[in-house]
Amino acid sequence: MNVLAFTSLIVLGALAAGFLGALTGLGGGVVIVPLLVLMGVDIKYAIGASLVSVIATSSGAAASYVKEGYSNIRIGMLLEIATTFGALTGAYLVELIPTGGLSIVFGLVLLLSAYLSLRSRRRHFETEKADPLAVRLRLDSSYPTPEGRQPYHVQGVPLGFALMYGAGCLSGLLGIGSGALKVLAMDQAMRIPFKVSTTTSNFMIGVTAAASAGVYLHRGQIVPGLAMPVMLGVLIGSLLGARVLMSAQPRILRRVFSVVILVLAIQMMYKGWTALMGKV
Amino acid sequence: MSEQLHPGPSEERVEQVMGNLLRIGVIASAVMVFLGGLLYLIHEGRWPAPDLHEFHAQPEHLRSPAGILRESAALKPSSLIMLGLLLLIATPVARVIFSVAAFVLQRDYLYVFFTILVLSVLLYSLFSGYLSGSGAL
Repeated sequence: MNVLAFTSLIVLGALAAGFLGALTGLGGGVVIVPLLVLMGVDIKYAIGASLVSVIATSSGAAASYVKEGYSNIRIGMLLEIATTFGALTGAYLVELIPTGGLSIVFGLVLLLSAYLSLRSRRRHFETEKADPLAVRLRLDSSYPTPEGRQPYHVQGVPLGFALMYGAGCLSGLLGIGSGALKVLAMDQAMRIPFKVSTTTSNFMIGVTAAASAGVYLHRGQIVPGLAMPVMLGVLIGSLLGARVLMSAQPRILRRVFSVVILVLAIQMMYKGWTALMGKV
Repeated sequence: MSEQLHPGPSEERVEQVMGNLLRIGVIASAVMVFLGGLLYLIHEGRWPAPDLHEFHAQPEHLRSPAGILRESAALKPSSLIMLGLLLLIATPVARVIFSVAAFVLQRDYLYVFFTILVLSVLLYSLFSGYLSGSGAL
């Protein structure tokens, strides 16, 4: 296979990954890494290329979300302290974990993310009282609804902060946005309205990924010939996916594609297991 | 509401500028990566595909911002792609720098501090290679 054929193949895979990532709401990273590994690429290169595509899709999407007035920049900024420190930790952990171990962790996180995004959301709540810490940090705000701006009170800041450190760690370790975990922290622990959680999470993903991208770059995990088709493919694929999502039934699509995610997760864990066993 | 309590630009204005900043950064880097990729395919398209089965670190000049800038000036295709990727990594960094400025104008010094903390982590990550001595200048 020559460079041209290799690049075309990766572009096709990345288009599919970006499309699938946008439709399932999981992000392109969780699909492109297993796909590349399936094609025989070392997971450390796959993670590097994926992380770059994560920055592209997150920044691209955040540009439109930020304008809609859903995302809360103060919540984002505060939690980015946790996610960026987590991302650095994760990026350094990559060196300590054998390739097979990384694949297994990846498979598990993939399953968890798919489960979290498929689960039905918490019902809306309006009775929350203001939390003193959240008030001091000026996190409470409001978001647009059909009935006008709806105020909300943020809860559980310390727990949310801790969970965000974990989400950042996984992002840096696996080269994914870990959006599902970020939403879990904001939606469940901090009781932030779902729409605000998802858009603020997206807003944070780019900064989180940039924090580990520097480490990956210095370690030589970012290969231009691989990152180029992955970034362009995932970016275009996710733009297409977002467009289809607006005109289709997301519930049905999500069910269909969750089967694909399940297969990818099992394949990653199997591959990781055989790699670990092979070394012993 | 609380928005009126802060001096300086309104939340909406800050968010608008921030959105544009992100969009411009992504488009610029995608164009750069695409052009570098085109050159790369023209020059090396018929070469055998890179062997990525086992991890070996990329050469020094593709691993540090300074090396990438230097080689891009010589129009090396791989370095041009990396320059585009560097631009992409720099986009969230620019967003955070912009946030520092916005919080300063709003005299929200607690968030100025938080934002500078995030910025330090990002800059540390991007330039840490120099500290450990692995990044070639």
